[in-house]
Amino acid sequence: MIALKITELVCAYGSTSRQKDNTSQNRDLVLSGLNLSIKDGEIVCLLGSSGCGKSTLLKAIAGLIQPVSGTIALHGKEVSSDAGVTPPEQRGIGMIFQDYALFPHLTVFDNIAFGLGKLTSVQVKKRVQEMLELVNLYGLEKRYPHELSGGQQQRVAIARALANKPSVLLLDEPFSNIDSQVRQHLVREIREILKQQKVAGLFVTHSKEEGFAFADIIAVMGQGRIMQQGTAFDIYHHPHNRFIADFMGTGNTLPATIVDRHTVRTPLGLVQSTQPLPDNKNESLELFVRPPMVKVAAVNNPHRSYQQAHVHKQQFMGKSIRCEISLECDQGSYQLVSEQTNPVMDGASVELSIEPHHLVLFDADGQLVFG
Amino acid sequence: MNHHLPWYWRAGSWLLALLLFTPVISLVVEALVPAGELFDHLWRTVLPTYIINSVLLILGVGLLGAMLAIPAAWVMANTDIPGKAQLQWLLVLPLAMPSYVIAYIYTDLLEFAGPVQRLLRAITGWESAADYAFPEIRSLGGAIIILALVLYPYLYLLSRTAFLEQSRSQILASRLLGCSPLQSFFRITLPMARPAIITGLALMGMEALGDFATVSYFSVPTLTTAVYDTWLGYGNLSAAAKISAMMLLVVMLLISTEKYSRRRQQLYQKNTGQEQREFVQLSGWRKWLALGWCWLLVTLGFLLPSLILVDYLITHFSTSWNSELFEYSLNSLMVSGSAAVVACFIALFLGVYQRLKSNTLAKIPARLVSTGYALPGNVLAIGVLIPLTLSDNVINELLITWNQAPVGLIFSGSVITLVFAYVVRFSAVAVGSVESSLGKVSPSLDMASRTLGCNPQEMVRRIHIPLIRKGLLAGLLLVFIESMKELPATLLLRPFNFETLATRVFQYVSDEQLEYAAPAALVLVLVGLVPLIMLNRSLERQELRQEQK
Repeated sequence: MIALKITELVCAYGSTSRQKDNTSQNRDLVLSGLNLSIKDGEIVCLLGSSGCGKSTLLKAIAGLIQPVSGTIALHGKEVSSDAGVTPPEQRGIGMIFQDYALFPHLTVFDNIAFGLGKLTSVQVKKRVQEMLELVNLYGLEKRYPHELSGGQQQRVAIARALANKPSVLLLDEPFSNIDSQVRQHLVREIREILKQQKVAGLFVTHSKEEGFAFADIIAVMGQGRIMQQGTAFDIYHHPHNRFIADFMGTGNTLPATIVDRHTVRTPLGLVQSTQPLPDNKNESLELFVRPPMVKVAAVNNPHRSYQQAHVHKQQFMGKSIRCEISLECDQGSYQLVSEQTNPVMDGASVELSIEPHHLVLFDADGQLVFG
Repeated sequence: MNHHLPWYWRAGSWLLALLLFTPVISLVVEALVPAGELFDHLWRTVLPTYIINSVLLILGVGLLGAMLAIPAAWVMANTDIPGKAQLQWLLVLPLAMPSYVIAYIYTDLLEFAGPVQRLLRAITGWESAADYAFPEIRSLGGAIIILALVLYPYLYLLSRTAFLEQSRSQILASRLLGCSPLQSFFRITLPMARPAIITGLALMGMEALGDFATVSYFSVPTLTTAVYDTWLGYGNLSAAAKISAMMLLVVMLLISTEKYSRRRQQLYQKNTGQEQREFVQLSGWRKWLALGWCWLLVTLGFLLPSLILVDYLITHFSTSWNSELFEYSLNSLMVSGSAAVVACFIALFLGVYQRLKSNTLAKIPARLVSTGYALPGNVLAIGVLIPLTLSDNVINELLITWNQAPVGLIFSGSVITLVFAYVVRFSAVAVGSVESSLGKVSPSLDMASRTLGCNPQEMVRRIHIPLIRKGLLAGLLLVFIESMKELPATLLLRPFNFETLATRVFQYVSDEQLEYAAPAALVLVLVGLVPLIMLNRSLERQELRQEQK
């Protein structure tokens, strides 16, 4: 079942009420016709650069700001549409904030019990104990938020948001205030809690690593809409456009034309594709290649090579070495990045090749042609 | 984030704001109608002198205050002379002294029959006033000295903070570029502190302009005493309003000077890196001069007058400690207490309104309510009287046309007027206190409580009010204290035979009998100390935080 469905959502800066006379064209739109759906128990990560409207989207879902138009439905029930807007307290949504938003004047127990007004005190006690156990904070219920570490505060926030059994949990950059040493661990732990509770989660971050580790599905945001939604692997290797490709990580672009069903011609020579290519020959396309696919080999006889490639910078990254290579050839000069395991001599002449793989080709506008 | 509030919240906020703003509107309206005969007469005869006196008073207090405060502020910020920890807050204490109490005490000391002149005559053998020239304290000059003595702490506090924020490296740079220490003080230190200094001067100017008690006691006619005389003497509200409007103009001039001076404050007070604070080492006569200067201010502004008050208290205890004292204390307590409660209620109402409605329009009510703080007490009193007498008259006219007996002055002659005036004047303090504590509540707490099932009213009750309780209490206390000390508006607005501690003390000062009101005066001083202690504690915490960074 679909836990959350957003259709054609439009939000604007400074919109204080739903505008009847649709004057949205005149204002700065943060979200312009955004679509997104999340299945039950699925964790989706909204990935985007800062200021792209990720947090605005979360606030619109929670009912903390009013959209200009579009609909938001929770488990099939519309909570925001032209027909009306449900106030946040009636939506049954949990939200985790960047600063955790724990109430400083309440103990851990009272924080977790805050939204449980409808239960009897015995039920409240039972529920809070369950939650404390779930987030591994048993025995700390009498503490105040300022007496807890950052990670513990984060867990209280999770417990508080989950205590009310929300249909969807929204997480707004929840790990940005956590030390990098404990972050990895906490991300895994909280993912397990969400999975165990079978709650659908929408998670906002600008860190790809966090997104990859936390979410089932990544949704890349840009220009006020979802540009691509899919698994991290898919988006990394088959981005829908240049923007997404660059956002997901470094890549090299080379001019390319299709020669036949399995070959393209590039300044580095012919490159093989493992998947059959489309039949638009002679069109000038761009080949997008991730650094590990660029192979660097020492040149035995530089005079024989038609390429003039030199390594001008190397950076040791741990698992691999990142080489920056400048390439001079008949078609022009290019800067390329390669990742490889063995160091090369600085300034050495090298020969470049691209391994056969599932190629990614963009047209001149940066839209995906093949990939 | 924008929360839905019930209609009465918005309507109530605007209604309260407009109600509290009516005195200002009334004054402006009254100032625009053609002048009456009395005002024309005053304008042709005495008013120019009054204006000159007021202007001279403001300038004199500013100049003398700067001479007193700035050296002391520099010493406190840049040296570590012995006893600095105590001195830096002792220097603020004169602010707690009612000016008319100090005026009385120094008149008592310095007049012809006072101990100083008697001693002088005993030493020199002079016999009468004709034998020597001794400056008359009951003069404009005397008023300037007295007011500067109790108002300099405004400037001291602000310029000390400005000096503390200055980076030592800028002074070092100027020294390396060839300035002598004195040159670098005048070319670097002072200009960089200019916005703060002008703010301090503007505050002192506003207080000096609004002062009634000292100039009245010294028989120096100013705009303030003119307002008082035209209303209480001639019973002419319109002329009093015209003069009040002139004072309002001066206030606006002072405020805009202050705003203008701060337009580039960011530029002046850029805090570059927190280096270890290095103190200037004073030695020899310099050290003694600095110490002497600071202790002189503290002694003249606070210690000596307090000791004399205590002496009065002890000598005349049996007559001055009487049931009258309790009656007036109770009056003060009741009026100030009600004003404080009402002001805090308004502050909470408006503060929450502007937080929950995040648009610019919603910020206006709180700003309107805060304007009253800038009005001098007597100007405010006239502003309050205009609408209230008008409504009294309208009610009585209506009753007469309906063949009912008129009820008399139900508003303008009652304690309610006094409470209303205090609320108009001091709500700004409560609003400021509520605003600053609400500002410290992270907006995400609002969002969290909403997603956890609170509607806006529940959110205010369960999150905002518990979290701003301290700020609200501080606001309550401050409004209470300010109201206790308020004199000029109280003198103009109190019901017949109704006395507060402040009016009682002033009455005794006017009757040359302060000795018999020493307990009341001491209560006023002690009450005035409370906000200074609070201020000092918050400043110390702030400095501690800066050091920890």
